[in-house]
Amino acid sequence: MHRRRPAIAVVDDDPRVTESLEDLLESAGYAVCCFSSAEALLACDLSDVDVLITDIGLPNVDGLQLRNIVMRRRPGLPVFLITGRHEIADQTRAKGITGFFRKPFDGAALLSAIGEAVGAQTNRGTDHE
Amino acid sequence: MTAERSRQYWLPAIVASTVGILLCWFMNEPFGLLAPVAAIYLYLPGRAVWWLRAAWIIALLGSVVGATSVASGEQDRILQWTAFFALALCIGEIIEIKVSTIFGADALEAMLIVGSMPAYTWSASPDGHATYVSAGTFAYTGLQPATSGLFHLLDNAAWRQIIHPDDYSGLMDKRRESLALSIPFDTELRIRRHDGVYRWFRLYGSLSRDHKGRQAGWYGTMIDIEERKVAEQTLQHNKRQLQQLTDAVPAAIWSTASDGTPTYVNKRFMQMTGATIADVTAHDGSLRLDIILHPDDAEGAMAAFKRSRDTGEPYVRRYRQIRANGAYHWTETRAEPLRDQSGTIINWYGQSIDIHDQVIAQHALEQSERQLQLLVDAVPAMIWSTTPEGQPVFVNKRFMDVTGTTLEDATGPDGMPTFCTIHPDYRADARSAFMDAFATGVPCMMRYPQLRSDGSHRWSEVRVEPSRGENDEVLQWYAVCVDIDDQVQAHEALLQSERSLRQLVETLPAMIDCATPDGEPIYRSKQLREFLGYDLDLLDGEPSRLDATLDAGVHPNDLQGVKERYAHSLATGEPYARRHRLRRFDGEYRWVETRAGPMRDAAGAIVQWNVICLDIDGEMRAQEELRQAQEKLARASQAASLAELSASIAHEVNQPLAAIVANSHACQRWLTASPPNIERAHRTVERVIRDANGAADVVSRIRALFRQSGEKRNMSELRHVIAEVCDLIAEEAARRHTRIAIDVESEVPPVAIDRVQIQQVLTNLIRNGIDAMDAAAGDKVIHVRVSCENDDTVEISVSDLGSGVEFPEKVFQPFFSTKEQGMGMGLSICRSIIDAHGGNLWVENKSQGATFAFSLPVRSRTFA
Repeated sequence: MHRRRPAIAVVDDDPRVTESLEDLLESAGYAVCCFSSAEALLACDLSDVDVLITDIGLPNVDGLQLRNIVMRRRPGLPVFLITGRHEIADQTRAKGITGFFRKPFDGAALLSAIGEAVGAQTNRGTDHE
Repeated sequence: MTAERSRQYWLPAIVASTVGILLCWFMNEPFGLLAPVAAIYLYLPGRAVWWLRAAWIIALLGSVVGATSVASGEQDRILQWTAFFALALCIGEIIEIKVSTIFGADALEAMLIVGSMPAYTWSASPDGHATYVSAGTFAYTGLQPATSGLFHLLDNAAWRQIIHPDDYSGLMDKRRESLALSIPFDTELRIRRHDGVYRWFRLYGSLSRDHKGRQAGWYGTMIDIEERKVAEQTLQHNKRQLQQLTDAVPAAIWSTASDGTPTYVNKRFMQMTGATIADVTAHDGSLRLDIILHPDDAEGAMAAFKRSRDTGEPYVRRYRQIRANGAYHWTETRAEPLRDQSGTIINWYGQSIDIHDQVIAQHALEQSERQLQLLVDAVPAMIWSTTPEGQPVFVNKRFMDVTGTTLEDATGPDGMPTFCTIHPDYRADARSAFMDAFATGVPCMMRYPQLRSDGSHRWSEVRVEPSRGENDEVLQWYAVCVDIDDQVQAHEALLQSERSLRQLVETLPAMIDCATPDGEPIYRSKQLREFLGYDLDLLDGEPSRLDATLDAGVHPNDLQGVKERYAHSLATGEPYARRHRLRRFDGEYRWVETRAGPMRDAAGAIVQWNVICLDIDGEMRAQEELRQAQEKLARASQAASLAELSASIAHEVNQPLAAIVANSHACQRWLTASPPNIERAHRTVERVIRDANGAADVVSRIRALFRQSGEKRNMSELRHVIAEVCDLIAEEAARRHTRIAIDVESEVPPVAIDRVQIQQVLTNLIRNGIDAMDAAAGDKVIHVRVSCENDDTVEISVSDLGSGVEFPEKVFQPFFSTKEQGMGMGLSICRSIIDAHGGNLWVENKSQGATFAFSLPVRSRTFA
């Protein structure tokens, strides 16, 4: 049985960052869809998304708020937060939120974390079948 | 005379006639009738004789004709009657002659009687010529009978001699009239006596006729009436004098008969009233007054007159009587009856006097007195008067109404005033003051609570003044009391209010003083006196209290400024407000805030300066402490901001770094894939290079920021530089409803600038401006202006319409921010950039908003 490629949504207001993440994730065989703001993502159908990667420092709706909204719509969807402001990362981690990467993040570590998340999801999906 | 004479013959005539008729009867012959015929003739009047004579002739002629024409038998009878008629005619003629002769003798006899009478008698022919004048007459006139022939002539010269010339023509007229009409002649005339004196005579004459009715002549007398005439003339004269007198008396005089019929009004009466006696006489002859009296008075006057007429009481009446000009004048009329010896009223005599002026004057006086009384009662003052000794004689109505006290109440049993209206507490003093005034004659004024009709007392002011006679003696004392209770109360209230205000000023926890318009202190409140430790009067003798106060009190460091501000306010009238240190009584300088405001009169002129001075030493110290705390806080936040800055820088660098790392991983994966995706790897590497350069740019710019280097300068047109900035920021400005207006002078030369840096400065300034107007209600406009100050300098300014800059000097310091999320680096960096360009950056507060401006040199200088 041929399985489709896992789809990853990336949200960041810096086009350089989304560009580089799209390149990295595509090189790892993922289907990537980039958004410049939380509102742009929320306007789309999230049902095909397998993993969400979002910057925290976004205009209007920030990454943490976006995570909360998406968690309500897609409970269990893996969400990875990335930020260039390390103090925010420190504060966030203190609140017990996981899946957190500080810019500049290690590509290998990110990919492996995504791979784990996608794998866990696939297994769960299989269990369900 | 004729009747007498005839009576002597009537008996024989009747006898003879009877015998003749009897003979005729017996003899049957007519001749016996001759006896009665003769008797008839004897008694027939003259005219009847003529008729009888005619009858005899006709009868004779008829009998003659009859005798010739009848038969002879009858002829004898007719002849007998013819003879009878002829005899009767003859006897008649004989008797007629006899009778005439007898009467002529009577006349002569009468003449003799007249001539012998001791009177002035005369007679004249029927045609009026004098035929006889008695001897007495001749004796009176002195004329001789010899010359009296004149009387017998037609010439009247003799009459002219003796008759008064004034009476002559009248006499002649009378004579002619009498002769023409045969009426008795009666006139009065003056006849000259022999000695030349004329005396009055009454000349009377009547016409005499004979027995046949013919005019026999005039017979008359002259009666001396001189005495009567004189008496009459005297009477006339007296009457005239009386008339003149009554007419000359300045009163209207009149009289009536006893029954009231008007008999006389004098000339003055007529002149006065314009009425004649006819006007005041009714148709029935009685008195009527309605024509000359006022309609309201006529009836009463008439009734009174009738009453007097009936009772005989004197009549006195005042009424309005008409005047010739139609006006009515007050007139007094008095009338008294004139009685004869038996007491019967003969006449009423009255006089009317015009008393109009007196009545009018009296009315006016009464009116004036009444008005005075009204005035005295109406004036809003209580009035009383006393005798020179002080005995009350009058209180006006208001006095009685207001005090409820009558003249009797105010007068004691001894006639002296009781002063019962004066409040008992003040009565003794007032009594002695009044008595003193009465004794000395000096006017006095007093104030005391005075009784009111409701039993209360109100303050009144009483002034007592004497009225003096010709010899300066006091005639009467007059007093006027005026209720001044309201004024007294108001005055009391005013005093109370002033006391309360003074207390307020004295007890207010503030130091207060007042100064003249030129600033000289005139009053200091207790607080200020206590603070300074000395009173105002200590400054007496100083040339200027103000200067002395300032020199002594104000801290030397503040003195100059205080004096300047005072001088300015005094000169312009602007309110004064200043904080300075003031020396307290114990030598300690304490901060005070002094404010002064001018008090102006209705015309706007300053009449006084009112100054309040608050001890704000505690506040000033607290403020200083606060400032120090703030400074400490600022330093602390400055440290915190450094951490923030480094975090920001890190973020700026981390972004490209993150992209580079991710791209590097991706590149590695593209290359290690089998088969390797060279194309994607190549494209990724390009991105890595690009982002790495970006990161390097950030770092170099931060370095530039801190190193403030003057690198990368190009000659640029400011117009374009600004346009680019505006394009970049346009979207944000629109979102925040702010308009950006650009005004660049045409002659601005290009300048050597770091384009990015200058744009960074402009962006920063414009964004600050937009922020400053966030809360503004009105138009939100940013003005960007470029002007050429001189050949060397260009000035760029950015103005907003916000609330201005609170700390113009501090805004350029690093880490100073008024924004919640600002780092406080923006303006600091801007100033560094401008400094690096050889220009200046500054800020000014405008009437609305702030203007940030910087200058740039036109020719770039060399920087180390």
